[in-house]
Amino acid sequence: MRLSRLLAIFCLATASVTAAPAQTLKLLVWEEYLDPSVLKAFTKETGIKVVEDNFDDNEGLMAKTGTGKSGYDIVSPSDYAVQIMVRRKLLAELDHAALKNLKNLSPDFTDLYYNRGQKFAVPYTWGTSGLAYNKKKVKNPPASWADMFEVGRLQPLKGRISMLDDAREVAATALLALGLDPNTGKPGDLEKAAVLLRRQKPFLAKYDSASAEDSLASGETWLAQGFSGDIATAQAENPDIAYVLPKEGVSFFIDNLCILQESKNKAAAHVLLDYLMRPEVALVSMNAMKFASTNQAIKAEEIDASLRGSAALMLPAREKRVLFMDPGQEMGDAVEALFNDLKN
Amino acid sequence: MMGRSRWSWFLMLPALLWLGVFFVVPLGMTALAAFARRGEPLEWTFSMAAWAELGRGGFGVVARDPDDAAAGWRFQNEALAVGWRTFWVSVATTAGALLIGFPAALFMVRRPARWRRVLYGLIMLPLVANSLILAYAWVTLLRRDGLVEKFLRTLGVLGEDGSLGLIYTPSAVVLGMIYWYLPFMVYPVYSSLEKFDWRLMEAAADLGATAWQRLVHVLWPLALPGIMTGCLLVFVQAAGTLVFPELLGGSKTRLLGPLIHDKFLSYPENYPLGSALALALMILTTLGVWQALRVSGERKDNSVS
Amino acid sequence: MLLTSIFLLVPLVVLVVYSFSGSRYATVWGGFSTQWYVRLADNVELREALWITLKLGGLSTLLATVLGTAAALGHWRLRGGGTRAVPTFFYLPVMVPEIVLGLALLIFFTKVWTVERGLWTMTAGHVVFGVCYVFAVVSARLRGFDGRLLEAARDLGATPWQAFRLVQLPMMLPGIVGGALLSLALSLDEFVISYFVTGAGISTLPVKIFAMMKKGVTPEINALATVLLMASVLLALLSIMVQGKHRAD
Repeated sequence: MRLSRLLAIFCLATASVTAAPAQTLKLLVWEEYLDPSVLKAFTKETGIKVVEDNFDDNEGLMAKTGTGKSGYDIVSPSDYAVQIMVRRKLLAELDHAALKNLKNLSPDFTDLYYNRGQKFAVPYTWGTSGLAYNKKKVKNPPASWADMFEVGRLQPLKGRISMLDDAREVAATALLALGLDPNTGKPGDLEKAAVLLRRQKPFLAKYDSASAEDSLASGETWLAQGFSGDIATAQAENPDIAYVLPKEGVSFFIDNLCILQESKNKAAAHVLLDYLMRPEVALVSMNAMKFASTNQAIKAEEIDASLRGSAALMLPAREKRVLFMDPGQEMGDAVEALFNDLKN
Repeated sequence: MMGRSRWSWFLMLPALLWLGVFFVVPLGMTALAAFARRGEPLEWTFSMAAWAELGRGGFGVVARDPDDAAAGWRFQNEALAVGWRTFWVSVATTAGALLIGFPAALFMVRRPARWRRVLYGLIMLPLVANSLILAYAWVTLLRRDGLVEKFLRTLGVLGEDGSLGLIYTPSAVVLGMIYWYLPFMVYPVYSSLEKFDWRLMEAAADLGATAWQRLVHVLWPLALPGIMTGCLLVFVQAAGTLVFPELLGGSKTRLLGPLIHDKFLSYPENYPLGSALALALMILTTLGVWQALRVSGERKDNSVS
Repeated sequence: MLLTSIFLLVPLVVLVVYSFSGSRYATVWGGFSTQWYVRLADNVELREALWITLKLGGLSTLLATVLGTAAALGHWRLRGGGTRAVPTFFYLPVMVPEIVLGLALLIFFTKVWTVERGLWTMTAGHVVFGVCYVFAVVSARLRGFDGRLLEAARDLGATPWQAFRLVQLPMMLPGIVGGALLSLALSLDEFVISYFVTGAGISTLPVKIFAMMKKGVTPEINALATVLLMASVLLALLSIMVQGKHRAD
């Protein structure tokens, strides 16, 4: 009967653990978004515990929180995802009285189409998804998206190219190359884009969002579509990596901090948001994660040397910035179908 | 007698209840969801929209590349194309696992007990490591300038800039899955061989049967139930695989698992379509199960008579 | 068999060797280093995930073992008589792809029985396949048990409970332990179902590893796998030794 005693102990052990501490904030944010030390320091200062989970694309985030019963308090959707989540009534209105540090944010990234008056979202980081290449291997570097569909140019790089594993980002490259608007997405436009992408696919090693920068830095791939912060990470490890903002325009994104409507800890969530907007706190995440901060109170000389001149801080001219918008169900499905069809 | 029977059902009740609530009801809901209206994410109103979407494009085939006949053909219908590929990838994985697993199990059974345990542990070893991590070990081996290519270069078989192009192909996905699902093949095959009476083989030899005849006519039929169980376990799991296509396939070809995943865990969600696809997957695997049961059932009848 | 052994072992060796790589990339060798083990020892999140995995594994194995054993016993007591449907029913969950079970539970827990997803929803899923494996293994064990032994024990003056405890249970025990271990092993590595029905701030080790891979794979993951591998091998050796000793006694 030793077994039963063991079971009793086990039951007691699990019972004691389920009694959770009173105030815990649950975060669902981008991977490579907040430096873990920041959250530790926050808990030390305020006594509020923080648990962090990650997601790797906006579509995943929206699906996870879409039911309104996800159990999270704070999320970090990008621009168009904020628009969708506001429409679906998933986000809580922000209490500006509790967010004294809002004034630190650069006007370059505030009051945009999805977020008039910062009603639902605090813009926190920004970035682009452009083209990165290995200077030693790519003799004839691309300057435009159109270059990415030129067979003669791709031939010598066959099996050394990666594109993001993200339907919208990939579709946008072809649409931009064709001089079309990635946001309107008429069915005919997408069909034209599909022809280009289908032609490009045999030259690709893979579609990869997760470790594209690792493959690039380690020399496995030579040319990659990538997010600026990730590429900056690769550049810090491999000085041969260069980054270009293609001339037709480039997908530009702002990742925000938002509080979910379902959150039962809204007051504590505001405390954390305000804390994260302190310049010295934002700086820590920026230096570690290499995604540019929207915080204009950060002193330029404090920014890590590896970031200066890197992909992370290459801000495209205003007219070249392509901000994605809510595609709506129909176009969302169409883009998804295009990507699936590409993989057939 | 009545009392004993009641007691027996009473003992089975908790397990049956658990499976009823957390298996039968959810599966029933999935079946219903395939006929529900798509909302955000789902409304319980009858609709055939998911099936209309599933059948979109018809069941014809088109050229893979209009300008290049050599590129072959593909199904125009998305579900059919993905289902077809999933089917063949699963079949290849099952066949590969059997090809490696059957001789391995045969070899193991013929060793002394002490050796058997060691070999058994060896086969089961990958199971205790994490499948995702092992998939990554395969990336290390197969990738461009990876260990396999480096090794072949040292041997001089492969040129300095040459590449086998192993990684990020359907073959790499199949290889990774054979590796991971091999224990599920070996275990049942080994169990059925263990019960095998080897004197039958001697008897067959005495009657003048060649080694091949003995293998095909004596050993194989009697090991068949184990083989079928193994094939089923591998086939069903391979058909629903989620991570191998992404890690080893470079996310370049779609299989049913990831497609279904996206319908549920990626915006815009489409629960009805995802459920319909799940039903399609179930039909695919049920056909496999039914076929296997039929084959092993026939064999059993034959061997009894 | 030699080739098969190589096929089986090479990836494992690669995995272990690369955990000592100095490079940040899991697929590139960068000189000998133990830094990833140091990092691993400091990783609080992973420790948390390990704890959740063990809790989930223990809880679901416990439930699966009790339910599965009782069901197998009940089925054995019926001895034929139109009960072929019962084992077929218990094999069904094994024949359903994990992803289907995962999404079915997701629909169930979001649209039918709306609860906050977490440890309990994952347990519900893990017990489903666990109970089937336990049922199968214990049933196989019971198939060879002669019911007349119980009657003999009763004739010798044992109560039904005593007859069960002293005669049948010891005979079933290896099956129960085997089924429990199988259920535990599958639960500890289970990814798909957990991934579908996990909740906020609750990650099992496989889910966490998947998330780590999304961030870019460092040899820290190899180090973790090596530690887990060594622990499992050690545990297996220990159980073989204990079993051997038991037999010697």
